[in-house]
Amino acid sequence: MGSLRSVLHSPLRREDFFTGIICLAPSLLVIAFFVVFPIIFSLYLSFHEWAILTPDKPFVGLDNFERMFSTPEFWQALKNTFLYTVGVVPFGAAASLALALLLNRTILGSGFFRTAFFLPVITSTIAIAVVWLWVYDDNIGLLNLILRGLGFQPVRWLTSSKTALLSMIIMNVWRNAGYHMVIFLAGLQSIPESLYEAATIDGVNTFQRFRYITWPLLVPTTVFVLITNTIFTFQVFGPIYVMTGGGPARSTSVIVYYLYQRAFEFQEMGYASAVAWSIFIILIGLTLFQLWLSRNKEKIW
Amino acid sequence: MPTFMGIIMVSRMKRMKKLLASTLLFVLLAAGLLTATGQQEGIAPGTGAGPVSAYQPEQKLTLVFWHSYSGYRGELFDSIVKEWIRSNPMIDIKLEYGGSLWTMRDKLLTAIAGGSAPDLAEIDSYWTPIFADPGSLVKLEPYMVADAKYNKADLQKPSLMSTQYLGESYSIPFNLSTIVLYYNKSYYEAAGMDKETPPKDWDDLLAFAKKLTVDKNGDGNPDQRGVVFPLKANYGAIWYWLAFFWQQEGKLFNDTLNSGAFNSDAGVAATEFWKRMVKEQVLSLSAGFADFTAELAAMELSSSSVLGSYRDNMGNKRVGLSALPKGKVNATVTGGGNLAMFSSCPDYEAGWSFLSWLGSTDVNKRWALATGAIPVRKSVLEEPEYKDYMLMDPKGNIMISTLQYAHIRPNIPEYGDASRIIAVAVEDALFNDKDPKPLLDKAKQEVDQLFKQ
Amino acid sequence: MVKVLKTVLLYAVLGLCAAIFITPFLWMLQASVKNTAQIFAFPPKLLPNPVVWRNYIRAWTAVPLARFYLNSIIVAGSVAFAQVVTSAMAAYVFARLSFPFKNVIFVFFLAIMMIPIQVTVIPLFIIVKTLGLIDSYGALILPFLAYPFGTFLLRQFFLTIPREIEDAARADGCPRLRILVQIIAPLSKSALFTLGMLAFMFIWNSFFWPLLVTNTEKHFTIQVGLAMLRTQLIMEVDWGLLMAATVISILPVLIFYMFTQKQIIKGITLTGLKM
Repeated sequence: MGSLRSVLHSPLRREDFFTGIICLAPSLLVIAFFVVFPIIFSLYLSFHEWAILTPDKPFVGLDNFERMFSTPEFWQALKNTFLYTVGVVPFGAAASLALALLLNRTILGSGFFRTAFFLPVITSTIAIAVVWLWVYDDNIGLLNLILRGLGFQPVRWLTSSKTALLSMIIMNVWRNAGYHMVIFLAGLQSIPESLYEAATIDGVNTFQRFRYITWPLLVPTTVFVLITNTIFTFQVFGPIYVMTGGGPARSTSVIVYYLYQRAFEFQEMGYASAVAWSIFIILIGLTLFQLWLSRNKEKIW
Repeated sequence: MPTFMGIIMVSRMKRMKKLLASTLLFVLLAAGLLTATGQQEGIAPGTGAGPVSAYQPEQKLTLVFWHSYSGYRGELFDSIVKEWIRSNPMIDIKLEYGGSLWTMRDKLLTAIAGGSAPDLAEIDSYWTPIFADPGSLVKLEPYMVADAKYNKADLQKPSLMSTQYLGESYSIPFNLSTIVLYYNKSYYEAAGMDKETPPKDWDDLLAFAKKLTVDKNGDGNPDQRGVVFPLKANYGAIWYWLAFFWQQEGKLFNDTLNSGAFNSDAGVAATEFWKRMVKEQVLSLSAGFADFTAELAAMELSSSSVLGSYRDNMGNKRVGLSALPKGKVNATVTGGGNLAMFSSCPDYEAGWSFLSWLGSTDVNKRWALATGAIPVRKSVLEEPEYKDYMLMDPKGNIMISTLQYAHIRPNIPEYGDASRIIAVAVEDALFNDKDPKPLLDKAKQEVDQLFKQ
Repeated sequence: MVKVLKTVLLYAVLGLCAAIFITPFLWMLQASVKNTAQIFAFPPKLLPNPVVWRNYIRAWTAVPLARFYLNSIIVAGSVAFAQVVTSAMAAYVFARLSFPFKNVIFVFFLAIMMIPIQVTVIPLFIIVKTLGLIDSYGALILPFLAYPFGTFLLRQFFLTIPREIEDAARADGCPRLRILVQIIAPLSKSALFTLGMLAFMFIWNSFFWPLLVTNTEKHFTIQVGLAMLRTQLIMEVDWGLLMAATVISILPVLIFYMFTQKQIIKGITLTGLKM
């Protein structure tokens, strides 16, 4: 690291410094202007009230946060979101990794399979929603048809508060498996073949290959998948909005859906911003924790 | 030494080439298809004098109008507006698609906050308070009163009321619909029922629905349900619940409008009736998107405005329409779109001129005839073409007759949140098979909290 | 013998998984050539009868789909390209260079992704409006030229490249930028293409932002166009038409995906390192 002084003294480090500036500049400029300004504005808003249609933004101090903490709906949404994230992230990552491992070889048809698994990712949320509403339909849905055919009792996937969240978790894992598979595949591709060749010569079996070569070299990718998956899953909105509206009876109400309703249905942008920032605090905590856990494992060479 | 960008370009060349090729292909496709799109014929041209505006601005104006119409309604609306544009070179109208009514609200909020609001728009009738209260809408009441030609008294009462906030109109009616009952006449015949006798009250509804619920393939699960309508809060179930609620003479709030009153016997009765229908399997909790047209359900409670599409899909002979079955009293719910002018509009007179023409008897008649919307003006019912239409098809009459007992939601600021809370309570009672009374009581407490804030 | 069994098992598992993933897409395909009543009929009839090819023709003409297609390609393509470039540069800094406060800035980059867009969309709209970009390609492209996601992804990849190669090049006096372009980039081909494709797809599928900032059909993207086919009342939606249009809208991303996948596989032969 070093201080600014020492950086500017050595020519090599000076070159580094300026290269760093040049390389970071485009990203920093675009992000600062288009992303950071709005975020700072939302922080400002979280201490004010703003009904969107009027310019008035009266200062309310911590009122928004107080209100948030004393609203059962907020806590329920938060709880649902945690459950949802805990359900989706580990299983999703595991499923994607499994698929990537299966397909990280040029077997016949691997191209076809890779495309098949990625199809749900590129299909728009609305189309997925329509199809899965059919899949989960109590009466004529695919899953219940299969269950009935096999002699089991049908499940009330989306029409019971007990199972609705689980149904959405399953759908999300299905949908995003291909997405993370692609990332894992890229990560697997960057592991040099020569390592595997050497291992084969040494008579190492498949499981050992995975444990001692693949898994450690995959750590940066795995860290990436877990962190970004957590961040995005926690902020899930689309499928809930289209399919369940948070129901039945708020059992699938997630925190961003709650936020959206307060912001746009009820024009309480100040309050919604406070909710957004509590999401931020939670996610920063989770991410820092995940980064800390993986700290030592990133020194691989 | 090759430049930095040069290197990146080289390594992207392959991808760019392919992109370029596909882009060219699409450009050609686009060019070909854009010219191939035919001109659609509009509806019959208007009668009487062309829509020349009495008010002419000094300089040419272009007013931006946001609408949510797509498909055949979009084309229709476009052709109507074109008539105006042709007759009024000084008041040009630019039509822009603002999303469906679900998404247009978000777009409007953002645009107004960002200072790029449209001048005029078609809005959901129930948004009036949202935009009226902070002054985003121009109060149209003075214009309606001053403009004798507009004839405010001619408007159907429920429609007029939906435009009002604090007793004055901030929009004008344009599109009107109520909730009615559709039924499949073939299924009635198949069940040995008289296809000209729809259910007249709740007992009938249940009894008929039972006869119409059939397990065709013997797997223990009915494949044809007696009745279908939205039950989920996010699909608008509250509107349907209100119909049943008001049919039991329920009142949402107390007279001083500061506390909830929906946890009454009426509220419980409506919810219990829904639960009963589910229990008897005539109503399924898992409804598809097109149960009536796909003939998975024999009866449907739905908006009067889908009649046209149902007729096209199923044939006029097959589709029956009636007023909703009666509870203690008759009641139904209205919906629709109104027209509004935003306070950022540069010329209020010009805007009013255009809006009032859209809301005139002639245009409304043509719109109603072409789309199946209920006319918002009583005078339309006296027009010869409309009279002919009603003679041809009694359904028009039925839809109009439902107006006399159509209810409007109370235009108070707490209504939005309150309706959501009620809808969730009903969902809970229905989907999780719980006793409605405690849930409604709890909802009432939540709503009362709203009023206290 | 064991090898054959293993292969059969592999294909069985893959086949089953593929079936699970493809089924909804197949449903969409078969629905795209049916009319509404047929789609939702019960018992479900898999094969359309009659086959309504007209849905595809109507999908092109009901709304100016070709134009929306073009817009989406331009916007998504530009953003994908730009994000790969900006992310690669920034990722290199985080992966290789020593820099005061580097880790703090990196976490700051990540933190940016943790604020839900619903509260940033209106201020962003105001910024875009102030720049005079409402209803233009600029509004759809500029705010997305860089984003932390890509930086994070590429940083992870750059970390897996052994430093020895770079150290050798630096000892030869090669400047950092050139190392990035001529050494790191080719080695990270899979990651770069993956990012490009994911960014392309993200923009292609985005609906809310284009809806908010575009007003005229000249600038609508494909998702807004699809929304025009979902009429106000769910009961009136022509599902066959909508599914046909959706199938059409998926094709470019699908093609782009298959193309990048090919590039990624080719990349294997280039990354072999002699240790």
